[in-house]
Amino acid sequence: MNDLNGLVAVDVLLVEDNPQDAELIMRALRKENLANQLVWVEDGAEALDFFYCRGRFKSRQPNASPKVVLLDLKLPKVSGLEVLRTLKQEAKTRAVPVVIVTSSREDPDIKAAYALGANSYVVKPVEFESFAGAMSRLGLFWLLVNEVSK
Amino acid sequence: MADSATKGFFPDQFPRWLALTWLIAMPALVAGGVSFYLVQEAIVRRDVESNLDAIAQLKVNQIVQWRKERLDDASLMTASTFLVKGFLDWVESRDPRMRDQVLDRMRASCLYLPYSDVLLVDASGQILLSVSGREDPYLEPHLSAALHAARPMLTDLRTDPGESSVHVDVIAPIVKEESGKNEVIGAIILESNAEQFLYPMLQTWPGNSSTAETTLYRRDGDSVLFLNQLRHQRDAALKLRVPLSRTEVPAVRAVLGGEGVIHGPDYRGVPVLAVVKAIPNSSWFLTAKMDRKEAFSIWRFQGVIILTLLLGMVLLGTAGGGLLWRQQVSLQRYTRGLIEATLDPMVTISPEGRITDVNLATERATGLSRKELIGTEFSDYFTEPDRAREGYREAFAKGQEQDYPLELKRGDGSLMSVLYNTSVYRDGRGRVAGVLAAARDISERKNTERNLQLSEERFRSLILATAQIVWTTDAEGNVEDMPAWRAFTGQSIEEVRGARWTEALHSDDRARTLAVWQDSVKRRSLYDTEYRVRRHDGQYRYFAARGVPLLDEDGSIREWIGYCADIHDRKLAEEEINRLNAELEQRVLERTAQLQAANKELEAFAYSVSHDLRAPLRAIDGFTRILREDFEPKLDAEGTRICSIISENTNKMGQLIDDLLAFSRLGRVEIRHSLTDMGALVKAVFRELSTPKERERIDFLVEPIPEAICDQSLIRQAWSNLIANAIKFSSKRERAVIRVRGELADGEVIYTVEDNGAGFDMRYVDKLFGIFERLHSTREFEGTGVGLAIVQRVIHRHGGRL
Repeated sequence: MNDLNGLVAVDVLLVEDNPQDAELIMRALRKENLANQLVWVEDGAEALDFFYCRGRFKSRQPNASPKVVLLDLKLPKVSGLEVLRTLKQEAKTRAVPVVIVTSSREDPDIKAAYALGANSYVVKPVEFESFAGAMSRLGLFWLLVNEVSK
Repeated sequence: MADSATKGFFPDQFPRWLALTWLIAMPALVAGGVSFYLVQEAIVRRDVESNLDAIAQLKVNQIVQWRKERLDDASLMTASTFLVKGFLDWVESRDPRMRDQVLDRMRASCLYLPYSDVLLVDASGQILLSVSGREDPYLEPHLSAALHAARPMLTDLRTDPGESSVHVDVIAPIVKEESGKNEVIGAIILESNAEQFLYPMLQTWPGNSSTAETTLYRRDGDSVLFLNQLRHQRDAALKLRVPLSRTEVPAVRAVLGGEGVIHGPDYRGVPVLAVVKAIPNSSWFLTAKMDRKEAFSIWRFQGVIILTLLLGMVLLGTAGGGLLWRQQVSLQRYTRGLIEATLDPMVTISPEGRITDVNLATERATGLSRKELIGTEFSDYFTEPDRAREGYREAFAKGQEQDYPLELKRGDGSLMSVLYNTSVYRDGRGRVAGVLAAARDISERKNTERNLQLSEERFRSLILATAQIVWTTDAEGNVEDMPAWRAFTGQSIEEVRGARWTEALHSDDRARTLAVWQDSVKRRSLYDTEYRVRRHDGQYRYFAARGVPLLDEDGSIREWIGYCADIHDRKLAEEEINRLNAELEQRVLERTAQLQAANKELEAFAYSVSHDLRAPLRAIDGFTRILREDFEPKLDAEGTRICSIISENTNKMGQLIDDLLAFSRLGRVEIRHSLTDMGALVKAVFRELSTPKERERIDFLVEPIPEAICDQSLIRQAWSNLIANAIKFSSKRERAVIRVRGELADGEVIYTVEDNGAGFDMRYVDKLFGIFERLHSTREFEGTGVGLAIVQRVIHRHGGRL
């Protein structure tokens, strides 16, 4: 999976520190055939590395922006809000849709995320079915319906 | 005596002098007027009478003159030798020449003298010659008498038979002297026509008159025969007769011997004023008369004027008297009114010391009526009768007395301090008639003086008793002296004068205090400040100073008065309190900050709990699903059931976490109060929570309930939980009733939700509102046990109870 990062255009960038959650998300997307071009990073720093083509992603094609970013807010190192702020500040990345993935509807950071320019949010349902459904709908929407402006 | 004084006070009856004056003046006026009238009338009458008399006399004189002339004419003719000789010659010779000569002579007499005819008759009365040519016998009854008298005689007025003219003849006998013997041989008769001379002479009247006339008449038997033509009756001459029995007629009176002025009816019966006169040497009488009406016409006018004037004067006199009286009365009433209106008791006292009159104020003061007071000894009404009498005597002697202090005994037994002002009053002749005494009630003034004195004493004691410094300044704010201030500060009198007292102030306060003081003086408003004053021992103490301007009647400032109070201890205490308060404030701030920090921590904790607890749950649930999906063929029924149980429990765990989070948030949110329509809210909540099917089953009754001021969203949450409970626990009933009520009681609003559902055991009421406490098994009713805990929290946060 990692090997392909530099060569192929990425459809989805998943930023999720919990490997179980990440697996469940990817599984749901895969079921819908949306996870073909998915890159998963485990913290905010890595996410930024992805965009700035550094570290692990040194060889990545800079122009190939992902079609959607699924961003967890509670991240080690650099928080999700930090990542969001950076993305929305950069002219190059501002147009990339960012969907906040949160574990609670009550999360006070949701408001802050919207203020920073998040395009949408989904609550990670405990129930796997609804989680997968939500992810599928989201993926379908962003990957198939919505044309990302470049 | 009482009378004369009373008259002074009560002048309402008609004043005697005025009545007397009127009684004397009016008859005098009437008598004078009447006598003037009578005198005037007499003058007028005399005037008219003398006029008439003069006229009568004039006429008489004229007639006498005329008669004399006639006789003279006759004498002249008989004395004429030519005529007599010629006549005699002709008688003897019958010579026609002689006759013609004689006749010429006779004609001349008719021509030049006023005769209508001249006759020559013989002694028998046969006419021998006549100018007119008459030859009939001369029928004059008195002819022979005339002839015998041997001198000319006038006949009466007569009319010859067959003629109408009235004439008077003079018979002049012709005497022939023969041998010493006179023999009357005939007479010359001069015939005068009365219409020609006599009547006109009578008819002329000097002056203009409509009724005046002169009548000529003589007695003829037992009547009066009028001789001339009359003004008021035609063809009366020698025909009109008035019988002598009518003695009231002036003419009758005249022929009966009367003469002079006679009032009476004339031949017509009209009252006339007449003057009758006899014509000497004849049987004739003459009346000059005028109708009374005319004679007194001027007088009547004058008389009316006189009487009118008289009447006018009488009326004027009466009216004037009346007016004078009324004026007098109103003046007296006015004066009396003033006397009665005055609050000062007034009395008049006779020289004997008896009260002769009082005013209303006296009646009130003594409690006795005027009647009871008048005639009594005046000094009896005072506490010191001797002094009262002494004052009275002094007033009598000196003419007046001023501010003589006495005490009057009131009707109710109380005393009235009075000052007496007295003066004597005099009667019409200037003799002292009594004393007029007016008392001024000074009880009130005395009272006021005493009160003032008391007040001042009280004021002084207050100042002395107070620990404060009381001060006064002049209008400009300059201090003269402040002894208490000096005692406190140890300043000398010079050192406090003007504004130098401020030198005793703390240097930090001096300029400000002076500015405040000067500003107050300038604005004439309350002076109120605080400052530190150096005590004589050098210690500075806090003082509060206040001052107000005292104003004169005209609004100008008379002086300033104020006090300075030592507030040092209070000030220190205040400062201590302020310090403590500040400390407390600080502590509260700190605590609040700590609390807020704790709250924040709690919030973070709650968040992280929910967040971090969810992650493993999601994993459990998710991977259980994966297990079931991916390994279904390898799982038997028991394996599948176990997987379901795992999923169920993870869901329940998620619900618990959500509820816990909601519950903890309740403690943190701010309460926003607004007026809330509870009835509408309750109904809305019910509709929201219930399905249509449930609404069919449940009778949801909301009685009219009071509004409340509360946080709408929180209270909504509370209602929501309560009603949801009610729906939930009544769900096993076929017909459920939920009733919501509300009432005001003791300043509280009590809302009640009642259902006919499962209910609970009151023994466990304490546990009811604990978090996660449940009284029913999950098998019976679903729930996490957080609902009522949330309700309680909401209500507690509103200061209410459940």
